[in-house]
Amino acid sequence: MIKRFADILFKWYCRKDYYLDIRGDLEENYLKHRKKHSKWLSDLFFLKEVLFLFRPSIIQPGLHFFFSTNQSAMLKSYFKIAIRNLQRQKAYTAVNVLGLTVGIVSIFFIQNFIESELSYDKHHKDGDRLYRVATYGTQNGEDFEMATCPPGLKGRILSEMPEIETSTRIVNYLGVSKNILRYDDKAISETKGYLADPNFFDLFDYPIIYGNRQTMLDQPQSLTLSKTLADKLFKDVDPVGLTVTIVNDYGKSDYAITGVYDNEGISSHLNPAFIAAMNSGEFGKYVHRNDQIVGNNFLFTYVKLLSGTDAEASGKKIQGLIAQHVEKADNAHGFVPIEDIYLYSGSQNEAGIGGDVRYIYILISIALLILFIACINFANMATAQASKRAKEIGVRKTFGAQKRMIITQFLGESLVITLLALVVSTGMIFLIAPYYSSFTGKEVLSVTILEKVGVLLMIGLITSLLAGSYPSFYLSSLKLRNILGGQSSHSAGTFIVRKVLVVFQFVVGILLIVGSMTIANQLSFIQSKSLGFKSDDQLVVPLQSEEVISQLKKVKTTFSDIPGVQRVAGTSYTPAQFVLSDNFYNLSPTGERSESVLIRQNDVDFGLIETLGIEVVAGRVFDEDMAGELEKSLVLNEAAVRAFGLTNEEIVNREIYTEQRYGAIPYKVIGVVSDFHSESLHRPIEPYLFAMRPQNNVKSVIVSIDGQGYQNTISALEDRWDSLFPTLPFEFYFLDQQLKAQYEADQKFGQIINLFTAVALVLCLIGIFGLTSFTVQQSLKEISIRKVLGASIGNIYSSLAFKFLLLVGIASIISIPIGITVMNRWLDLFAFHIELGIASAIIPVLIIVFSSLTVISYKLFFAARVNPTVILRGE
Amino acid sequence: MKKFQLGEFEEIVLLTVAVLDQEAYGFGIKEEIESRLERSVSIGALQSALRRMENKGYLTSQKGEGSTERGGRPKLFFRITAHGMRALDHNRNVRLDLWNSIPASVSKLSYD
Repeated sequence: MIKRFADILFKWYCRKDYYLDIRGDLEENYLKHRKKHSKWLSDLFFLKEVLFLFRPSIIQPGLHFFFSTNQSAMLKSYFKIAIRNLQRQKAYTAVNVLGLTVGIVSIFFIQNFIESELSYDKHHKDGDRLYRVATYGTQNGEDFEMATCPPGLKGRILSEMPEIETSTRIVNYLGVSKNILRYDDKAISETKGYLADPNFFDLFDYPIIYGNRQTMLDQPQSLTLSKTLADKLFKDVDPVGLTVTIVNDYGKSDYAITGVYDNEGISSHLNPAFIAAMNSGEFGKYVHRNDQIVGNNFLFTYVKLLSGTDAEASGKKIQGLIAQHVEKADNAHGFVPIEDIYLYSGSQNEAGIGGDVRYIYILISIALLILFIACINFANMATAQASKRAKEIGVRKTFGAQKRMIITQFLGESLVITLLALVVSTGMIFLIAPYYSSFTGKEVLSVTILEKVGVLLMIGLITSLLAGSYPSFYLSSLKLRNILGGQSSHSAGTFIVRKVLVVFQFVVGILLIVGSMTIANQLSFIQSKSLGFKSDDQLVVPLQSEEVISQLKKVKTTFSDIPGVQRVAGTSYTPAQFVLSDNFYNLSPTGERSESVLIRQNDVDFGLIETLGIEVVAGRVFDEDMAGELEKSLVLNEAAVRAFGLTNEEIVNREIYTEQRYGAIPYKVIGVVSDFHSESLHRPIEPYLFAMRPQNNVKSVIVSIDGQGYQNTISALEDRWDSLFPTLPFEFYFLDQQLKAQYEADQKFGQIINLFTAVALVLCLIGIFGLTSFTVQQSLKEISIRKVLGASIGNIYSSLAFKFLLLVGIASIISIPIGITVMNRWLDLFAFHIELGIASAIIPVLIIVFSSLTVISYKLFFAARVNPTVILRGE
Repeated sequence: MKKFQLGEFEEIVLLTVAVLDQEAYGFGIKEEIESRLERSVSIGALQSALRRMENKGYLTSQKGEGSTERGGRPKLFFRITAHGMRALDHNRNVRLDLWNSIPASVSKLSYD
């Protein structure tokens, strides 16, 4: 490879008549080295010899032209002129360097972000053959896609589909948001724990630090830890054989550590903190026994297909296969490539938070736009400068400079500016990297920054070509006769090009402002929208273990006694949590499935509806006097009533039926509550019910407290908790904060857009400022003559400003429709969103008009107040 | 005499070409110098010296046969010309002159 390259190089520069025999010498010399050294080293020696052969007496006469002293003197002159120009016009240099720096830094971080977003699940061996089994179906008339499938499906497809090489299943503890791992006196809470089949590590290729990859998950109650977690608990000790206690909503259970896997630097859509053997604990045993192949879609199943399998066709066969074993196979299944899950998954119940490929496209476009704006600024200012440089070009041409020499010169100058910008950018990147890391949670190491020098150089090279090409071709094409004959060096064409470029900048500016305004408005809409329940001054206290849940009554009474506590009630899901349980209900015991309504079900305790302050619109809610009937009573929301096609009054006291294994079971609807947002505003309000089953399913209590002196109330709650359950730490969080967390991704997106809007706006303004100064410089004579003829400062100012406003006008006409369309698409991601009105079109334009007028006014007033005698004296 | 001026490396190359007589080609000269003088010679330095001296008329060259270890590429054999011999001779005489002019007191100096 190296040798081939060196040979090509040699052949290129060597004199034709010398080539053959010197090449022969090189070959003999190579063979001599080859006898003693490796091929790689010999290749390097070969390259060294070729480089040493690059001498005037060996190279082709044609090349002498480039390396002759004449040429290098010329290059030196170009360089010197470039430096002198940059020094003379400090403001111009600063503006250009600053603009390009901002562009390059933006591109760098966006590239970094995108690279890490694309790196998910790329580390698995045979990753291109790994797929997840997805479930597709229809629910209440809407299509859905689930990341999970029934537990028994793995066995079926493995035995009946020969193209599946192997398969593994994992499951997260359902509804558990937190696991507490205890060892000795250390306790760590982890959200991402899974149960997995023994062959998990055969498919998911994590390096194993301790333990045996093949057998780690064979035994029940065995546990493997990620390196991150193991380091926190044990610090550099081999923990295999030690016992860790895991506490979560399913209770407390001991696990023996059988291995540690290395998760550092590996990103996966799962990102597991720990993995326990499937057949562990109550829940694991339940999963282990469960062999259903329809319904019960709660398990993630992964398959490795034989190479050459058509995954799409293969996945489609699953439904037919299920239909051979059960009567009704409602849901279809398919294989989703594991490498696509993080960015492309549209599933409702992903194991982790996914990325979104749309955001990546948006970021790429923004990065390119910003760099493009910087380049436009550069090109604009360089051409605007033409009048100053025209004489120099004229003289060069007179002395025989050819067009391509002038192009080289100006491209070289843009390269110098770009290199300056690169140096500044590298410094900036080091400064910004920590903020970037804390914002995105993605690391930029100084090592990576250095590794990226190549990327930066590439960006720089492309930038300088992009930015420098137009001005250099323009300047080199100036007619000698025009330049030295004293005529205007501008043709109408250049004005149009420059105006187009400025309009483009305004278009980008307005688009970004429309975007950031819409996002900000939508986010404040979310925060101020009434959710249908009281969310502030509500504490959520997780009940952590079965021991606590069994004493729910005691907890309630102890908490209620505290002054400052208004109400206490237990619930299985807080309004910020996704409700996992659901059931089909029908108005008649023998109704068809197609007429049934799928209703999400929250098992609650007395007083929850009152504690949350949800409005009761018909009937009543659960009451302690009802005693025996409670078990069979339900409270629906209005969406559920609408789905049945009844009015609130009609459904109260009616019975609805749910299909169970032993036939339809009747439930009595005792009341209807108004619709409230049990999920984030991304999702519509779905049919929802409260059932009265506090014994097992309640997982936390919601404590409604007084807004004033809440700190005292919280410490009182903690004291009571500690006296009741001395071994469990008191945990709580505020409901409104948990609700806010649902929009974290949206908020981050908003912040990113705001940031880049600001950057782009600053760049636009810099460009406009630079351009105005040159335009003003050139029209000083015109202004002077106007003034002599009696124009006022106001006249002149408005005539100059009008030219810019015209450009803004054109830009608005182009950008507003695009902006509104794009942002409407974004708003569609929310089931509840603002409408874009006329304000969202006018305000961005006004912002652009005022900010650019402010910037150019300084220059325009300077021009308008110019003294005509000074300018016109020389004419 | 400026006319016959030779650089140190040029002189060595020229001498080696003379020593090798009929067998003086690029790689052979390189090997000879390396083994006799125990210094490494880059092909670039050697070739540029050879071509320079060919231009000055100290050397002539003639294409020879190719060989397998050269990938069939022909060798270019160099031979020293009369002019080249004169240059060497001249150089040697200049040196000898200088040697002979060293006073006896100085030439007696030795390491011990």
